Amino acid sequence: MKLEVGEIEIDDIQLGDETGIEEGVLHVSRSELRKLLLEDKRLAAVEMTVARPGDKTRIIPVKDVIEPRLRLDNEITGYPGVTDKMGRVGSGRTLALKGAAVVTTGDIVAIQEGLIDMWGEGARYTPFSQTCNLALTFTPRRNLEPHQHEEAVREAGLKAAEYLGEAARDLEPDTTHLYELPPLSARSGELAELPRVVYLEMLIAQGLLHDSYIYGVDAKETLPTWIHPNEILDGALVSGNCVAACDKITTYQHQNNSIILDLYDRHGKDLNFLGVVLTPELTTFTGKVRSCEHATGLIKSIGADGVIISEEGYGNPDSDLLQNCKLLEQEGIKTVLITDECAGNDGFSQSLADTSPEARAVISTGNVSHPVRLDPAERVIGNIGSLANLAGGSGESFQDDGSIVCELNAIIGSTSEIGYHNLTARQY
Amino acid sequence: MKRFKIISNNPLVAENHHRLLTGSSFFEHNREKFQLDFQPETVQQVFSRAEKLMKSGWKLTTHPLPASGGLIGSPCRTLIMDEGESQFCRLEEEDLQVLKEAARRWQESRGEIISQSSSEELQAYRQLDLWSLESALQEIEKFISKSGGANSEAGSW
Repeated sequence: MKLEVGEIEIDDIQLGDETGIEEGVLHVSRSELRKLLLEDKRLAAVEMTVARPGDKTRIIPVKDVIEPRLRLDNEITGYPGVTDKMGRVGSGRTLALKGAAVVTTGDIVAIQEGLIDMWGEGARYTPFSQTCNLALTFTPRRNLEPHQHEEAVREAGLKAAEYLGEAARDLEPDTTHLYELPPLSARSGELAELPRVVYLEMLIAQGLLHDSYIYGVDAKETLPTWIHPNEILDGALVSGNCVAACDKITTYQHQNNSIILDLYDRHGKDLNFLGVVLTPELTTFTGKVRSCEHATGLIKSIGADGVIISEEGYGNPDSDLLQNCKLLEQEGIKTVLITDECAGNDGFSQSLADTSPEARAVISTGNVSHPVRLDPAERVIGNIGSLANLAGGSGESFQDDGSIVCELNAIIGSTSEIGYHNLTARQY
Repeated sequence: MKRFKIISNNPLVAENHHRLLTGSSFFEHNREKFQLDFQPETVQQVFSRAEKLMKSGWKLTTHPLPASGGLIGSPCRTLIMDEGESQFCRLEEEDLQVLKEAARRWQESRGEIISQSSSEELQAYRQLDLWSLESALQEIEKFISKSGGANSEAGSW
């Protein structure tokens, strides 16, 4: 499976009368996009706003972030099983509007998740302060049931990203990346001598606003699944996770999964990247046993020497993370865990809700409880009042000088457990 | 089939208890096996009730923590317990440890009583808790109903 991702550099987004790309500027027809999105009668209105890096702008509450893309060699141009018909993705040529993002906002329930600050202290903690964002704020039709509302907003964001991606159709990419892994049976010679590594990606799958979709299938309905990494990079995974701003995997982050990209970088050099197993984080203990046992069996059958495990969310998924680690290590398969921590404002509380002596190699992507002070924004896209209802925020978040004190919990992508974020560690 | 208790301080769960246990032949035939154990006050009462049941041999069916930070300190919580063997923990003490850790984390988070949340916020917490319960009941219907009930093996754990 060979995927060629061509990147078109986007420096700005301008709303106007026509859609196209000219000298790094993505022009968007307001009327055309509005017409497309409001074909879904579940949506009554959509407001479009551009937020650029450096703008003293805050976007809140954020539902999802999606990278605009276009598949050139596939009749499926959208998200298979979600906005387009079913079919496999991950091969051929795909163009990505690098530097641009669609950000969906709007209340679904009062507990809202996630802000993006485009400037100042808050911008340091989210990767999406560096993208030019087309923020879409949706108003649902009256009395829309929450499941319908969430689905409508999710699909609208994806459709908008697909619409914008179409603007790149006749352009030559500025940069091209090639992603290719031979079948397992064809790995011979020097490659076969390298350590065999699998990436086990845990996905939240615990009910409305806590869901993930694999080719449009609710991850709750799946067993751990072997999947080619190209499929993930090319849109097979869509986020339905509207909680846990700091470590929810946005659709954008699925499309640019740092762990997959880094494994590709090292494939054939010091490791043999076998592929990816996706596993759902279920609510019941029986479900957790099923996921963890099956993932372990699958990875053992594939013949991995080592596994990198990433989590989504925290709390009960910590049990899945440690259980996956324990079972794999008991099979003689080395593990590295990637997770964030819920370690209190001072960082001294127990980081994870569960533990295991087998967990000896653990990468922390940051402390979700770390407090930050955010300056007052000159412009707010969405609803600033929802900060009080964000994880990491409260009624006391608003300070007299207009600044906000909240936890990293509240900032989109701040402690991304797939490593697509800005935090790093330094040893003194 | 083994019995289940739905322990909750969420009035939305109480209001929807009947609806949650209809709509499929599994729940139609086994509704009486799912008893609602409503604790009208705080999340701490839910945890205390669960601990008491644990000492009488009941085991956790669902993990007592939610999956996201914003809900760890939620003013409402719903747990499901059953009379079967522990599905996850090797030892009884581990089951209790999981519960106590959840209670500790709830205390450390907001942990305020229900009356201190705004009505809109409270309704949202209740909704999210209800949706999580719905998801858990769907899992029970799929996995546990077909696994032979109280005498089934928990797996290679």
